[in-house]
Amino acid sequence: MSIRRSSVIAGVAFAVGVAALGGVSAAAKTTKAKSELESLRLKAGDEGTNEVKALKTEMLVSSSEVKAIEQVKKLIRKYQGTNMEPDLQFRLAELYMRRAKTARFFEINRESETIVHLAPQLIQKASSRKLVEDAIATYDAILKRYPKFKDLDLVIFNNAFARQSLGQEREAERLYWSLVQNFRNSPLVPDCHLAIGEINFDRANFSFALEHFNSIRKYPDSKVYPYGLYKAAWSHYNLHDPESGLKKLEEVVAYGKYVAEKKVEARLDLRKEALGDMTIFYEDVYPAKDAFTYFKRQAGDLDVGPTILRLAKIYERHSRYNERQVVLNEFIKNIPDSPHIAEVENELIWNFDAMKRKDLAVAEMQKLSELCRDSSSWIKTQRQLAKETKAADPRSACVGMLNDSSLKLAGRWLKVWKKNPAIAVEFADAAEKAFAVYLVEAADSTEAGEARFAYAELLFQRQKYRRASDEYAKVSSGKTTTGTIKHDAGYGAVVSLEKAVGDKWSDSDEKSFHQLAAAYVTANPKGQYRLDVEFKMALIAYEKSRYEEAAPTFIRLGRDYAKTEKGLRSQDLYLDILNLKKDYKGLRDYSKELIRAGSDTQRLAKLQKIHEQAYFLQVQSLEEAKQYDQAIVQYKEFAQANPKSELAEKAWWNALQLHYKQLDYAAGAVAAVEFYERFPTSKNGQDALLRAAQSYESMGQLDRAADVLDRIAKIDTKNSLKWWSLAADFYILSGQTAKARKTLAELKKSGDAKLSAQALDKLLLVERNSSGSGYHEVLQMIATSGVQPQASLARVELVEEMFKAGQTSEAFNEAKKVVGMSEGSPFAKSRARMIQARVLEDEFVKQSVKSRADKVATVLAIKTEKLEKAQQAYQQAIKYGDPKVTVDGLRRLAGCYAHYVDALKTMPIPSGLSAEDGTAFREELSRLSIPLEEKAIETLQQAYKASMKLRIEGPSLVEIKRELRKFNMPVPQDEVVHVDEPGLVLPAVPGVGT
Amino acid sequence: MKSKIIILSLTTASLWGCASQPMASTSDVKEARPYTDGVVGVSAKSADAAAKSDCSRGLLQKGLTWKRQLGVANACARAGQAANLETISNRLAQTDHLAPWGPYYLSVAAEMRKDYGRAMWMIELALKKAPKSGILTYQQARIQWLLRDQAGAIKSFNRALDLDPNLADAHVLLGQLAMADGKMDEAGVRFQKALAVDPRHTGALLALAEVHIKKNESKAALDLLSQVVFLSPANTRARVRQAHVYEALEKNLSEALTAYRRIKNLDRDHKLDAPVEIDLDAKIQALEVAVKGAAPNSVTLRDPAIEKKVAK
Repeated sequence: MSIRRSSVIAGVAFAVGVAALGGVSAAAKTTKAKSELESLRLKAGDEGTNEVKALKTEMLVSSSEVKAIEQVKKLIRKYQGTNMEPDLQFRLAELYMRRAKTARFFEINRESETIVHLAPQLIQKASSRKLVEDAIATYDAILKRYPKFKDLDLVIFNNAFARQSLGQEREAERLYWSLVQNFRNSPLVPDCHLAIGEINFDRANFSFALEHFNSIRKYPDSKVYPYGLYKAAWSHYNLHDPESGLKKLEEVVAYGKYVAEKKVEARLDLRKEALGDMTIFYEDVYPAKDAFTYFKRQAGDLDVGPTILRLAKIYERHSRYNERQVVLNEFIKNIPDSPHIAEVENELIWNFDAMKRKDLAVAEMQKLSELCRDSSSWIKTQRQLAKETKAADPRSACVGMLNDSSLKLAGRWLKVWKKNPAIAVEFADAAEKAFAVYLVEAADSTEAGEARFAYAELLFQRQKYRRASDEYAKVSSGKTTTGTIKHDAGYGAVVSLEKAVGDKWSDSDEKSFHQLAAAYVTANPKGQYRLDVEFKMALIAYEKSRYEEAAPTFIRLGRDYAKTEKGLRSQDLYLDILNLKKDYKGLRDYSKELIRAGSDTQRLAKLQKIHEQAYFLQVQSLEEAKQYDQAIVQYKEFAQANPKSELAEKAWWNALQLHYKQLDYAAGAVAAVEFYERFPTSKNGQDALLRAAQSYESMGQLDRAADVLDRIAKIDTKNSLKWWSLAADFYILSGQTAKARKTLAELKKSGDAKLSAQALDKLLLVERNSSGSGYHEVLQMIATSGVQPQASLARVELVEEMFKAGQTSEAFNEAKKVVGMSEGSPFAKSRARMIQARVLEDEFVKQSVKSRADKVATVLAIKTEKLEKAQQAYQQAIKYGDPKVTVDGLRRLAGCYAHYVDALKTMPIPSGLSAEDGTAFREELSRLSIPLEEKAIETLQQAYKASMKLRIEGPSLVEIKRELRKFNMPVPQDEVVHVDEPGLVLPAVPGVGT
Repeated sequence: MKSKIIILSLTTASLWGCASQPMASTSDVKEARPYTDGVVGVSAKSADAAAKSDCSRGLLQKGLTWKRQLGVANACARAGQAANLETISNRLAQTDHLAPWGPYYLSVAAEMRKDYGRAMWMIELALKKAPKSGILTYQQARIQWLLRDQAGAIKSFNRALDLDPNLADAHVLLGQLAMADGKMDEAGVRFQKALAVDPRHTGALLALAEVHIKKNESKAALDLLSQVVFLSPANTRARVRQAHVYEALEKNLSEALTAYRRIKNLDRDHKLDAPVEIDLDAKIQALEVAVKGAAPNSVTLRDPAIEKKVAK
């Protein structure tokens, strides 16, 4: 009111000033002024320039005012003391007030650098208060010097107004009151009442103020009349009498209607202001349910919408949400086509939110969304109205409001839910719906993109993954979306779909996933989650058993991101694919490649294991494919390349088994031995060696078999004697005498009597063909071992050696021991007796028959006795039945007889005998020899017959025949039945040569 | 020599009585059949001049089939090359483990070296692989014979003949043994069987001749002996027995004299395969005297029918 009043006053003064100025310069400078005015015209939106322009204007005004003041002062000096002086003084005062206003501009803009820079001195010197005080001083001077000045009421009023502006309210009030009292007919009286009322109103002296406002009612023609009513209403209100206040405002409204009807000055129509303030009072006076009717009636032909909305705001401010809801609903009910419906609906949205009824708020939001829809009848109606009034498209405003509310509420609810996700579920529900409403109408904008992203995030967090994926995808593909959101949304779409699908991917889902993933990778070639996305794509293909599709990606990711978890998983999955495809070679090579690339110890160990298993399985597959040769080679290569592998042993074992499967015993045996050498602690070691031994034996390679058996003996200590015994046999059979000797020596010391005896037998065999004393020593050992029949046979061999060596007495005695052996071999005994017979034969032969005549009988008796002994020995030897001994014995016995015959025939004639006695002696000896000769022949014939019977040929038979011829005996023509040694027969395959 | 055999027999008895007997599974036996089917025994006595070169050349050849390796081994055996035979035998034993022939030839090689213990072990190994092979059983019998295990040998020879009746030498040996026991008929049957297999078997011919001699069947004997002489002109025994039949059974002293004279000439020229054990000079002298005395008889004894035949 004061400003308005002030501007009224200022307007008067300015008009005067301008007129004065105009009188001086307007004519000459019309064109220039016009162009200057144009240059000072403000341009919307260009604040910097506008500021300068405003400064220029004020400087121009200030300059004009200064000139005007100087001019008025000149005039005052010129017309001092004349009737014109008070007028000029009044104008001067008004010009001060005007300048004060300009100075005020500079004071206000002291903070503006632009203005301070352009007019620093002007800004610094500017003082509106000083100028107002100058004006007051001037007014006071007029009052004092010109008490009868015709416009004295105006001077008083302006003086009061100037003082009021300086806060000198008491002096101002006194001046206003003096005007009321002293100038009762002045048109300024209602204004003074109003001013006094305002001053007291501001002092909260409402009763006093009310009196002055009520005083204005006496001046219905005054321009301040409606304002007085208006202020009176407020005074009532402040005096806690809203009902009276409401009545006053009803008067203001009624006055406004009157003014409008009478088409009086429009600014006196304060209906809108009154209706607005009535809402404040109404709240305290009447119920909400009657509000629409009441205000509709008060508003009359005015749009009641703003008033209702204002009332709703007041209810809102006072948290009277139910009343607000009632008022708004009443409005909708009564004026469904009102242009304010959208706003009312929007208010309802917020009201329900305030009422903590988010469900209803969302419902209203949806209603508003329907309302804003392009096809809604309300929009069509509003569009028609807008067209008529050339107003903007109502839909954009509607949508703007809808979007604003939905987005704000969605954001707010989302925020609440995020703080308490567990308990604030309804906030999430509401936020979700609000976002949905918002996004129906949201244009493709950064804000919308962010909103949709938030919506997608919400859905994601609420595990509504499929919808989240869709929303993320929209954000990602949005033209206005850039930067982090675009990236995150792209990834969010992928991840959401992944979560939505879970483990089972339909073809359509997978197709969608591919599109989303491809979009992400394309849009974010260096995206943070590129690895994850590509990994997932490959993983899906993998899970759907499309290994060929998945494999290249896993290989690449495994290589390019080898240090990341996904990279490692890619490696693992590719390994798995190879495994599933049974591509063991690929698995072997890839795992080796990964091992070479390096990793931590644990993983390397795992990879090594895989590598080994794959390698092994690959070889096994060769085996299964019956590619035995390759399998053998590779099994061995595996074992050599991976000696520490758990499978190395098995690999080698399999290789050797395959050798046998292929019937390649030679290679199998070598592999078996190598198996033991490579895996000496294996539980199969002994079996392998046994297999090798059997193989070598089966192939007749007894020396090798023996070597292996020797090893087995060292492992299988329980049965070592058995193995050594066998090894010794094989060494003997293969002519490995040194080894045989060594092994048998061990066996000999075994402590087992039987085994020891056998060892000695075998040693004897070994030593027989060797030079040195070994053979003799072994013979001695056997002879003294007491184990029969070996001991007797060994002993007799020693006896024969003695005999050959001429140790006849020793031989005879030792032979006697053999013959006396109770369990001795008959063969040994026969040979022993034969030796004895030979010794006795020697003694017989050596016994000379040369003697004197008187000793002849004695000598012959001795010779005969020795013959009998030899004869007895031979006969006993023959009795043992050995063919050779029999034939030899008979032949030698015949020889003894023949020797005796010869000895008799050639016996020297004892000395001292006459020739005649000598002849008689000789005849007697001849006579004596005849039966012996016959005996010799007979025995020879027996020998011959025995030879024939026993088929003993060779020297012995030839000797017998020669002996028989010596005796002039016919030699039988019968041949010994000749038995040919059976000839060698060789196997031959007819038709196959070498 | 004898004692060596005794000791060896003890050793081998120990070997064969214990775990050292050659091992072979039944599957080995089954698998060995392809290696014995179609294989026939041939006498190694049949002279083969190319044997030595075939043996040496064959040893240089790698990758021979078992059948061809058999040929090489036979050549080595015929050539008496024990070392080479052992080499090819070992090769055969390795390349064709299931075949009995590797051990068989190893047995033969050992026999050549008179290592009868090893020979016996090897043939037993071969028999484990092919127990029904007559050739292998025959070789076993031979080694037993060489080891003076006459009873075992006879048993094995009989079994060998059961498995393969075409082993002429086995028939001959058994026939000779029967003859020694005075079982002439049985001996004759054996020799006939041998000759049925090999009509040119000089041993069988000689032995059957002896049977006929024992039976005083001079013509039959002479016929057989003539065959031997024809087949083997250096055969001392056949010629001596031929002369003896003329002299003792036919009383054809003139023919006998001629025969002895021929023997003497051959002996002088070193064209006989064995030394003559009789005193040829004394025999010839005695027969010359006898022939002179009996000359008229011999003329009158001429059969005019023969003259006619001559005239024809």
